[in-house]
Amino acid sequence: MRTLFLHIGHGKTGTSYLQSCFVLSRQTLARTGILYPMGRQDRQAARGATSSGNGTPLAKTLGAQPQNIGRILRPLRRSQRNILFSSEFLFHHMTKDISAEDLLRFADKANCERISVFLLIRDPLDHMRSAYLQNVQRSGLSEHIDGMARRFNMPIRVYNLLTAFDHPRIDITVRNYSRIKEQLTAETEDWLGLSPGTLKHPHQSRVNRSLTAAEMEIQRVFNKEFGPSGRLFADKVIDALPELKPDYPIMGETARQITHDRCANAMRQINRIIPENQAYCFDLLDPPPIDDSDLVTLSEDQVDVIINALARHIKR
Amino acid sequence: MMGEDDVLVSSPFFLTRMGGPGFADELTAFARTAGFDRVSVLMVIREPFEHLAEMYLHDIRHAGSTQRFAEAGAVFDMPAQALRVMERHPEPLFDVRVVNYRNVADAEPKVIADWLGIEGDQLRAPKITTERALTAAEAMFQRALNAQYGSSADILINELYAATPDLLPDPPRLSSADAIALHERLRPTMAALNQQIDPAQAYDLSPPSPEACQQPAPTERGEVTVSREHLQQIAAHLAHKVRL
Repeated sequence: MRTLFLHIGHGKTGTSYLQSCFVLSRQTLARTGILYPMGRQDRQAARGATSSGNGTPLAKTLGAQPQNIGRILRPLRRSQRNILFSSEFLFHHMTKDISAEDLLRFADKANCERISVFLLIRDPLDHMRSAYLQNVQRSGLSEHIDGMARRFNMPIRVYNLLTAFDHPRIDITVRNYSRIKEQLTAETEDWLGLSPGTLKHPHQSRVNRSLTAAEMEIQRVFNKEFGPSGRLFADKVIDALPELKPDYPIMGETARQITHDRCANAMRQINRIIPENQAYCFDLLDPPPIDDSDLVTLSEDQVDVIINALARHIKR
Repeated sequence: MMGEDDVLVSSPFFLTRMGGPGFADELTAFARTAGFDRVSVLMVIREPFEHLAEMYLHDIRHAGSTQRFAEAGAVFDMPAQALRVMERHPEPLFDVRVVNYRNVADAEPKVIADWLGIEGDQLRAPKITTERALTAAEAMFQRALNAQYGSSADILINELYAATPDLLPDPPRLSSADAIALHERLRPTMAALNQQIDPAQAYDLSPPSPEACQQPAPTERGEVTVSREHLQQIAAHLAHKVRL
């Protein structure tokens, strides 16, 4: 029985790290009977850098251009192995424009009787704080985390996906990244039916640190002024001062409550159908830190990085 | 040759020159050539810790300084300069009157008129516009800019001052150890000067209070604590100078 393995994210659950493991372990996977098709960003993934995985074309094609699916199927038909695709875009499109029927049709054409989905979720506050810092650094976000929280609906999307893809031929394994981040590869090996230690790890096991509170404030100002401008400052300060301890952005009580109220029902429903030890934690209801200080700390080294980064762009 | 009038000259550079070697001879020669038989000097001294802080921030803004505060403290020697002015300009030609800034800060025209021997109301004081001092965060950014461009208050501080005139400054402070070391170094000189001047104008010789020192001690890296709003103001002013 041939299986189509789909690692679908979602975002901020160690996806890039796992994709690096898959690329580095391609030959080992092949020996154990799993084909990990080539992806456009395999080189980046092999270096341990951010990549979009080998499943992005599949996600985009299944969702919007099913007539082009032949290009993806051709290399798969030459193999008798199980097939593994990985991409956060799979989650995105499976909650948008890919149906269970689309997926089953593709599996049939790829001669796969079974579909096994690996879905990593994350506790909402933990997820939002991490996503917020990434968006400030990489996507030009300049608003406060409370603004982003107003749009946060990940547990609702997870619930919709679990409902929409509830089918006898589709097996969905849900793991909570907030619980298993230290055993991420072990859990993934377990999902794929591999012996422990099969997957190779990238050399660069340390993920780039997040921003400190002061760095975040400065980058937000630059984003407001220049649009996405993490390369101007955030990337440089993280590179230059990798050992600094990042700060978590602090969400206001009202934003926490509103977000909790919006997501709580979906979280409760999901918790009923996933293993108890992987359940969502209602961390939005945790008491916020007492020291909700307006003060941030900045070092000479950080200031030097800012001035050096801006120096060639400053006009007097 | 000058006439019969007394002459008044004023410059902060006199302190450095008069404390240096040879200047007393030059001044003596000039006074005799110009027909002056007396040189009256008004020297305003200031308590070292507040003087150091003000000079430090002034030099960052106006003189392109890149020093850390502890470095500035390690070379601060104003009381020694003041003492040398006293020692190198003896009577009868010279008459050095020393006043402590704490006694003149609010009554400068009266003190100067008294020294000049004129009625107090004959001196018209300008309208005083005091600018706030640099905040610790501003000083840190400006020092980094100075290191890159030389004196460069035009990039950041001048506009920031105009935009935020009412910010409360947070004066720089030495660590407890550095403050005690500075006091120990300056104390003998201050005591020597005190013996030569009006006790009402004397330096305060008491050791620095713990409240005057930085708690906790500054780190090697030199960190400042700053409000998010003020940091945003600094970043925004910097960003306005950037052309990508």
